[in-house]
Amino acid sequence: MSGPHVRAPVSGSGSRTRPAAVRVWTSRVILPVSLALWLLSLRSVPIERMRDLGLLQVLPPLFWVAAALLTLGFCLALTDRRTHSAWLTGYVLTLIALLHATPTLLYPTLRYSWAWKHLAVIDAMIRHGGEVPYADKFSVYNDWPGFFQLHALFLQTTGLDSSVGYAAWTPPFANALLLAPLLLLYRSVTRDRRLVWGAVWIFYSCSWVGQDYFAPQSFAFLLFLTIIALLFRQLPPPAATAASTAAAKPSADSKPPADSKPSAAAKPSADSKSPAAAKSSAASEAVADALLPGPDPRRRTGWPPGLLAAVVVIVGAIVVSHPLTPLMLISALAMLSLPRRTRRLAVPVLIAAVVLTAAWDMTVARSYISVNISNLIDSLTEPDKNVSSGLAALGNAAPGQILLSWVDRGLSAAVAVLALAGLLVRRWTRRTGLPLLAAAPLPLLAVNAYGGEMLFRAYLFALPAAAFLVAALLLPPGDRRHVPRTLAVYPLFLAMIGALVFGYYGKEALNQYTLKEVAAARYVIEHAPSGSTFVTLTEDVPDLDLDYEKHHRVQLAYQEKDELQQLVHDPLEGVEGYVYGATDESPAYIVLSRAQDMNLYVTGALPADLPERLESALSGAPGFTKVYDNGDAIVYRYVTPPPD
Amino acid sequence: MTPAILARLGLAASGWLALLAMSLPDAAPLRVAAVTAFLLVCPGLAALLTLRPGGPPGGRPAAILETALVTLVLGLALTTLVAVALFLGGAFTATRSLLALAVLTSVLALSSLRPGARNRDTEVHAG
Repeated sequence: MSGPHVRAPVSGSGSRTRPAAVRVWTSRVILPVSLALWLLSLRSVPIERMRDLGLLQVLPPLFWVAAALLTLGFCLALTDRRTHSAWLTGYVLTLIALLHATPTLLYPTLRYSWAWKHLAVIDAMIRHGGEVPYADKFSVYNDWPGFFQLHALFLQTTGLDSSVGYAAWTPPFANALLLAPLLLLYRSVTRDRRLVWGAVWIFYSCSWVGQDYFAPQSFAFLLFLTIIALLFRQLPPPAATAASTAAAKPSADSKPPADSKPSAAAKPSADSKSPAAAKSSAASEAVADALLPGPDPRRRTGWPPGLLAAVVVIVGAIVVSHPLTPLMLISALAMLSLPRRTRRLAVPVLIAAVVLTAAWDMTVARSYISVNISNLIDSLTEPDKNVSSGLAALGNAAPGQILLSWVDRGLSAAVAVLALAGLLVRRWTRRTGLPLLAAAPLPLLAVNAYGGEMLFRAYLFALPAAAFLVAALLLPPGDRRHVPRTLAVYPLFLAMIGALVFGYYGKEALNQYTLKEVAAARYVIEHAPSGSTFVTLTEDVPDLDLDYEKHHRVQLAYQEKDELQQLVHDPLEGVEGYVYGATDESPAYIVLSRAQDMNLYVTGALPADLPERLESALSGAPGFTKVYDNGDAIVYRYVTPPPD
Repeated sequence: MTPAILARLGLAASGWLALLAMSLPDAAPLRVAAVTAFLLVCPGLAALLTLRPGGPPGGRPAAILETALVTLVLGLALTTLVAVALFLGGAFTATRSLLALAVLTSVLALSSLRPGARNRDTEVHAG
């Protein structure tokens, strides 16, 4: 194997060939051009026209041109081994901005109902000095308050009124912050820069699950990935392949000496099956070995005590912030405890994670755990139910949503298949520990349905490792056809981004709110006495959960099936069933709004004509008084009339 | 006095300056900037200097990236744990929380000044 393929692709002062120079300069021009085109494309986007494909159907062609150009420029930059990391960082950050800052720049206020809920939790915790009484369905936040109390501390010390201003920017910043642990993780398993940056690009192009908003899970995911990256950074280089160690050691299983660098000029494997293909494969493995990180003279096989202490502090912050992430961490560490190479690093953190999680769950979170333990046991006995629980029920969904659901599934399945192919075809990846990391979330699929989302959460936690396996398949180290192969992945990279935007932008019609909708919720909060009942069709009313401990909230679309049938049959009677007995001291408010209508149209949770029928039924019905109407939201106040 | 020692002394003082900034009106830009900068950088950096005086191994860009990441994440983790501890104890106030973090940062930054502390990690890994 000749030098250029095995050389660590770093600085080089040799002059480029003319085509190479053209590619390099083209990639340098494309980055600012695509950034400018993206910003220009956002000047007049008719977001009010979003329907069943969300932002997809209103973003102008210029936006897609910018995305396609950006991807092309990134591929061109990847073809040159000497492209400075600053350019590649610029490309990735621009991709993050294009994907995740677009909604923030377009919308007048914070998107997504759950982000608004989390603002309400912070506000309530500040008002109550910690645990919020009468929290009802919000009581889970009392048990894992870390994220909320971190923001409460920030608001109180800065004197800011609310997190709403910066919460809207969470998606781009949360994704940008993930770049650091991703780079550290990937660089700990290979020195091939094309592979490292290709894996980073694939991660961001396939991360469609949308758990990057203002939420405990986005915070905990950063902490999780940091721990994993630090662990991998402490690892000795993977045991060299038989191909590269045969000459040095008789056993491929035994670890290489700490001070030996894998040799690129190694001889073919003793266990290879002799044909030319096997020889070529062994040579390729040897090249991959040569691009594994070299041993660091200061590195030893365990944790430096100080760094282990820091990691335990980070584990502690995860444990107090989110119920699922500690379980994902424990699962990942348990997997990494299996091979001898990672065991010495994984076991101490695993013990800390288990002890801290158990201590927290048996004390502060005990109320939640004790109530939900029976659900957990049920789900253990019916694991197949959990696996399928994340799949959409598409009965009356809008046509675009059916397409969207298939694209989501297709992208997730494609990532899984390509990662598996990477694992099978690029055998050296099996020694990196990443396949175990990719498989780590799978046991949790059987344990907990997590509100029907476990499949998507498992995908997110598997994605950092899976993206690397996909990259190893598509952009193998030491490839002779470096340039054509890098350019050949362009259509695939485009397809990934094309599929991602379906999942990520497809529900924006109901995730985006107008200022009028916020104003309607504020009206209700300001006028409703404590003990009032708020009735909505869905959860999509921004800020209506403010003061959640003072009011009773009914979301009609999530009631029992027979009650829903009653509501559809006779909307007035259906609503009266929930508000009957309301008094002047404890009235009921029925809030109808644009985003709720959109939710019903898009998801088909209830018939799309129900809001109109309900509004018409409430208008003039005894006890119901229209108290607010701003075009985007209508509020009825209800007090049960005295009997005749 | 070397620049490194001066920087550690500055780090030890940072929490108290943030505490001083709290005397400014609510949401005053200087107050927001001072407190934000302190929370994002100082507790994490002070902890890192004490816990890992020799810095991370590896090439320079990766070491810088790791230092920056751990500084931020460790700082957020420490701030989260301080906030949760104070809320759980029913003792949370803005001043107390920043005071706790200022004390923690000062103790960690000053302990990283101990004779021999700066090279300890390097020695541990030398073998």
